[in-house]
Amino acid sequence: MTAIDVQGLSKRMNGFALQQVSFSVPKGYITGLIGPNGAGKSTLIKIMMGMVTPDQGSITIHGQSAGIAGAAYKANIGYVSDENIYYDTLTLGEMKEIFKSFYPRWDEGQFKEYLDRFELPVKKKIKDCSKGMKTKFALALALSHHPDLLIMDEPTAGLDPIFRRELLELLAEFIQDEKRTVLFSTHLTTDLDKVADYITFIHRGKLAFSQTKEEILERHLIVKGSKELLDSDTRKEFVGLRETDFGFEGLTADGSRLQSIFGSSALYHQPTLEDIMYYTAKGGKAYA
Amino acid sequence: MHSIGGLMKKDFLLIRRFIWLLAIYAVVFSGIMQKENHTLIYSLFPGLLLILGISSDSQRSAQQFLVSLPVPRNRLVLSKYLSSLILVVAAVLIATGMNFASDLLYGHPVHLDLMLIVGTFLSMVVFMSIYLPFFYWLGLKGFQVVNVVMMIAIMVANGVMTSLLTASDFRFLQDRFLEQPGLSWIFLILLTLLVSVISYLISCRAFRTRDL
Repeated sequence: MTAIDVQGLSKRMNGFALQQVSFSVPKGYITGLIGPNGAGKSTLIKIMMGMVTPDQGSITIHGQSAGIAGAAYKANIGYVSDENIYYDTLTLGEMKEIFKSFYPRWDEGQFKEYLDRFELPVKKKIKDCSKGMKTKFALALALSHHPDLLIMDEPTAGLDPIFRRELLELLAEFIQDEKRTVLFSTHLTTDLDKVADYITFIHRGKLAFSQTKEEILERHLIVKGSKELLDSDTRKEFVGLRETDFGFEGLTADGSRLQSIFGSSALYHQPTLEDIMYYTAKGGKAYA
Repeated sequence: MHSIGGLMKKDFLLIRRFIWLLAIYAVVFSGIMQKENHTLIYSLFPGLLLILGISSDSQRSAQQFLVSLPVPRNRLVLSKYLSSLILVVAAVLIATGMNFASDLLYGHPVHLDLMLIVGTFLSMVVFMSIYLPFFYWLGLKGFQVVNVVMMIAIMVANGVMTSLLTASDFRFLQDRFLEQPGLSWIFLILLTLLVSVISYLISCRAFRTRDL
């Protein structure tokens, strides 16, 4: 069962291009959308929310066509933007009054609980709130209408470590019933290490991979060895390679194959998501 | 329709912060301060209120918020037209009320210039019908330029209309209008309605595929 199905999505804008991106976000799990700055994560999310029209391709959310054509599907989505999109001149309470009128499943009691939990003053103007407070407010609004899907664009950026941890715990609570889904974009892989079940990696507008976190970490391997081990054939085995005067360190997407080639001549260890993102972003070019 | 109500409520909440500015303008442009030109308020005040009301959603972040709601884009546009219409009605009523107040203050006979009131309303609807498509078509910077141009246009139009009302050529049109006032008003109202509908369709088209 998929919550979001992206098929052949392409979009060209401002010197950037999303190219034939296809992936699925499984229902009942947390999917992390990662990639370097400018990879296309926010553009993808904006297309899902109907803010940007793709040149090609389609997105289906809970079986309904998503994007500019429809709007009803958004009633089941809790959306947290990477920037404040609420009216600065209004208070948190006034903004809530506007927001809740669009969601039939709005839960006032739940909203008050989040206000207390996040320590948000309802009479404070949004423009007088810190970035963290604005994010907490956005989260309170997004969660208080009981959405089936939570889409968040870099929600932890600029947050203190205490609230970042609290947010990740909230996400884990949110999907406990296995019926609700989370998709959140980030370039902070440490967040995904803690909570993500699936990882979708976007790099320069293209899909690098979309799999479970365990599969990704098992498949990839960091290999270290002396320069003599490298030749034109073995270099092709690496996603990214870093060479120094003394040897090399690289990431491969097929760890078992490279282990069979190098045997005990090289050292191996499991990469982190950050390692995978780093080497994938650097590409197959040799660099110091 | 529930969503349109919510959107309109949002527009009126946002205009609230300009209440003191609007109160000052209402007094300054009315017959209380403009003894020689009590009609000034009829063109400037509704124009100002309209521009303030529409501009409240000019920021990209505001438009992103609106589009993130479970409301189709054409309904977002429709709510803006309805809010703007209500603002025009309110502004014309306020202008009329302020001129009543100035008549009472200076001991003038209180009179209701129905032609001026309805004429102002219809001309403001036409102004709104020109203004809103620009709002949906242009980005923030372009729209800020349009705001300045529109305010200047309102001020210039006020002077032009005052001259036209006293010009002999226009007197001929006025006389023809007054020969068949009922039909003339129906014609003007239908024309204004047509302009509004065309404007709405243009706005929907401009906003439908705009990337935010």
